[in-house]
Amino acid sequence: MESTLVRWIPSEPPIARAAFAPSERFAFGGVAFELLGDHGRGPLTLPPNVGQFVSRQAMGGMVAHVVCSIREDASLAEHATGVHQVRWSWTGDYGRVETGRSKAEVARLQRGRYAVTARVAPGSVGLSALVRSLAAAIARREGGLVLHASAAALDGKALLFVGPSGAGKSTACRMLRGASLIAGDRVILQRTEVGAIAWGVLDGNDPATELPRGPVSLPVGAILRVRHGVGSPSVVTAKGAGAIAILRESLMVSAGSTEDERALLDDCEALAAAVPVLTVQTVLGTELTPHVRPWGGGGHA
Amino acid sequence: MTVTLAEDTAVAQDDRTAARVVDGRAVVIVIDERKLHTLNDVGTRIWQLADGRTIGEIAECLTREFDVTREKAVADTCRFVGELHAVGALRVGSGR
Repeated sequence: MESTLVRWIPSEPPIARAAFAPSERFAFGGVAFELLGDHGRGPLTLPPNVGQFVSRQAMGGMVAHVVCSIREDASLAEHATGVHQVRWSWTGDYGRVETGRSKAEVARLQRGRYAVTARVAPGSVGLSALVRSLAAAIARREGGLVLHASAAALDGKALLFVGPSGAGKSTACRMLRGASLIAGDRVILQRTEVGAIAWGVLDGNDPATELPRGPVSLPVGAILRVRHGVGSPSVVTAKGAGAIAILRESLMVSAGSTEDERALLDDCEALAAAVPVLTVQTVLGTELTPHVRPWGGGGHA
Repeated sequence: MTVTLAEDTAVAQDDRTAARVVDGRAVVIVIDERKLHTLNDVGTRIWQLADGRTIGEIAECLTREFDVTREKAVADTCRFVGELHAVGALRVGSGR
């Protein structure tokens, strides 16, 4: 256990919020955040685009609730190694999350409740990357899965398109007439008693588009591995080891130990049993909706 | 790393792997390489039998379970073990 994390454990939960500056509350990828300004240093200065984070919608049913104390640290800008380099690790209920421009220490106070202290490089990029990474790490700690996926809502269900970068995930979403994008590159997936729930995380290099529009969750209709082809679009069900392989390749987590990896395979196997896993051949310029509609909310698959 | 494989070469799953067999097909993950491999039915059986047995013993099993001659089973097992050893999924050693 990291001794530096001991200070996180509050003697009287929850954290004495009055001691902090005014906060910002929002939801991101199924995780409700409350960002607190730096104690004793005045209110947290949120960059302009982070204002779009703010969602005062009901926070019920979220994967987790996080109270996060943040201060800016100019040294992190000097040592930035890239916003996409993300690492997290958990030792029991304590974790560390690092991006190229932020560092955070995380304590799990109880199920679904977290406290975080973080340092971020000045500017919106560091904070955005931190929130995105915290959401992923905490969702994973709560038993959720983070998928490298684009997702679209079709008839009330989420269709998740997976595949390596460049496979055409986002393009597949754009081929769905009448569907709305709920995730550009990443989906947080939570298994519940009533099935798998997808939390969209809008993402991207453009700060104007990477921020979420609020809590967006939908039951998962299907997970589709995208392959570009010629001729006509087609959909084939993946089963058994093939489905597990598709899911494991799509998880945004690298296991450090054999036990971790086996646990991930368990998760993939359970998910494959709960959600249809398909391979879809997309054809540029060809409408995809009729081929996948059976797995949308209006279908009967 | 190239190794010489023979009937008396012992074969075992590497400790740094994780695998799942579903409906006779295996997914094998080599953790340190961060690579995932899916095996066909014969490959999956070889993977399951790789518990310290020799290639000759594995080939004997395959001969009983599949329509294949012992000579071809040994040759195919050697080739496949070589492939999985090259990607870090199997350990090989001298026979017992």
